[in-house]
Order: sequence, then structure tokens, then C-alpha cells
Amino acid sequence: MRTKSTTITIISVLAGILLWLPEVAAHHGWNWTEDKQTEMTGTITEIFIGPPHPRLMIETDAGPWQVDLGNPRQTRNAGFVEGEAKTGDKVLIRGHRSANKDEHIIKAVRATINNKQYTFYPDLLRED
Amino acid sequence: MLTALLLGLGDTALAAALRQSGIVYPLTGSAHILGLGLLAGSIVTLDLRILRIIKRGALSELAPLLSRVAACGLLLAMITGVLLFSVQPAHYLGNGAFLLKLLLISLALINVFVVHCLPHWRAILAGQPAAPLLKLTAGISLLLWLTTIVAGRWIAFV
Repeated sequence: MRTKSTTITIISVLAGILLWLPEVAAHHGWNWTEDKQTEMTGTITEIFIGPPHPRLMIETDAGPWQVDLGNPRQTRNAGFVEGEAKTGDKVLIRGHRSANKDEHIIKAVRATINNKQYTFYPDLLRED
Repeated sequence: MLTALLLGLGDTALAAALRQSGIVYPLTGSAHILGLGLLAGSIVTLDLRILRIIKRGALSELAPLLSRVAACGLLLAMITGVLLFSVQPAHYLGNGAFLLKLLLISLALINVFVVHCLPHWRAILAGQPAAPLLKLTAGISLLLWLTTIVAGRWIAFV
């Protein structure tokens, strides 16, 4: 009897953790970002092209921001590959900022560097 | 010194291949998950058996089998883990969840070492029931390996 209740307790705790995870989670998808699409300019301080997730670090007037690009395949399909940009380049990001104001992350729909556009999510691009 | 060595992993040809190929990284990730599955599946079963939450099966048979499967899973997870890490070492060394995961794995390995040194471990291999001290180490093992998985998953979310 005691064993059964111990087992139930363990399973409940694990299930609780699993249910709780998506709440804090996931820079996958868009549900952690603002609905509105905004623009941001900055200077590239770091470029990472590769799995699990390509990203830029940029310095803006509002301090450092992380720019999440598409997944590795989407980023390559957008034409953004090794050598396309270097640190120090100016970048214009169009995308969705984190809904959490304290989190300086923007998920890019499109990046413009040296007058060249890299569109990671063509279907989601909203032109003004 | 150690940091320089770890950062240097990112400059290897293997790390470059992981960054550039579209399939090597997902396959390595899959093998890492297989390693976790083997490790967690066998060690949780063994720990629950030692704690007598599972009562079926003779410990003298289960303990050597499950601990070896766990060791194989751990080895696979560690090899693939180093490969996944090599893709961006500096990023992971600055990730709190990753550092916590390394700490938890270190503690879990110390626990493994302690267990294998205990006369109580040899006692269960010889068919005797698990002593209270061994049950304590089984509880610690459960806690450490499960929190290792949670910390590992958290790496992507900090």
C-alpha cells in the first residue's frame, strides 16, 4: 500500500515537472514573443551559424541584444552562410521582441546587412 | 588551461563538420538521447529495486546487469555530449544550466565510486538484501541523475 502511494507520488512529481516546463520554455515557435513586428539596428559583436540555433549578438543603443535567426536550414535557405557578415557590421533586424521586457532577445524574421536582405521567415514578413 | 582545452574543441575539424552538416548534429543529438535513455532507464530501475519500491527480480542478477547497461549509456552520452559541446564551447561554458549539469554529473559519479567501494554493494551481488546505507546511495543516485536530465534540458532555456 505504502509502495503504491510512493510510486504515485513520484509519477505525479515527474508529470508536474513536465507540465511546468513549457511555461518557462522554448525559444521555438513565437508564443514567447510580442505580436507586433518591430525593427532594431545594431552592430554585430558575435555571429554563430550552426546547430542547435544560429544567432547574432548585437550592440544597440539600448545595450546588447541577442538575435535569434531561423533554424540552421532556414538560415541557410535565407542565404545567410559563413562569410556573409562579420563582427562590426551594421545590421537592421525586423522581427519580434521577447514579450518579457527584461529579456533582450529578438527573433528575426529578416536581417539586412550591407544592403543585403536575409529573410528567414518569408511567410511571416509584414511590410509597413 | 582546462578552459583553453575546452575552447579548443571548437576549432577541431569534427566541430566544424557538426556546425556545417545538416544531418551530423541531429544524429549526434539522437545518439545522446539514446545514451540518456539507457542510463536513466537502467539506473532508475536499479535504484527503485534497491529501495524495494520495485520488488521483482533478484538484486544479485539485476545489479551487475543494470549497472553495466547504465555505464554503457553514460559512455555514449559522454562521447556524444563532448561532440555537441564542441559546436560552441564558449557559449556552453557561459551557460549556468550547463555548468550545473556538469556539477550534478560529477556528484553522481562520486556516488557511483562510493557505491562500488562499499562492502554493501558486494553484499547484494552475493545475494544479501540491500543495507540502509546502500538505499541512501540509491536515493541520491535517483535524485542526481534525474536532476542532471532537467539541468541538461534547461541549457536551451537560459
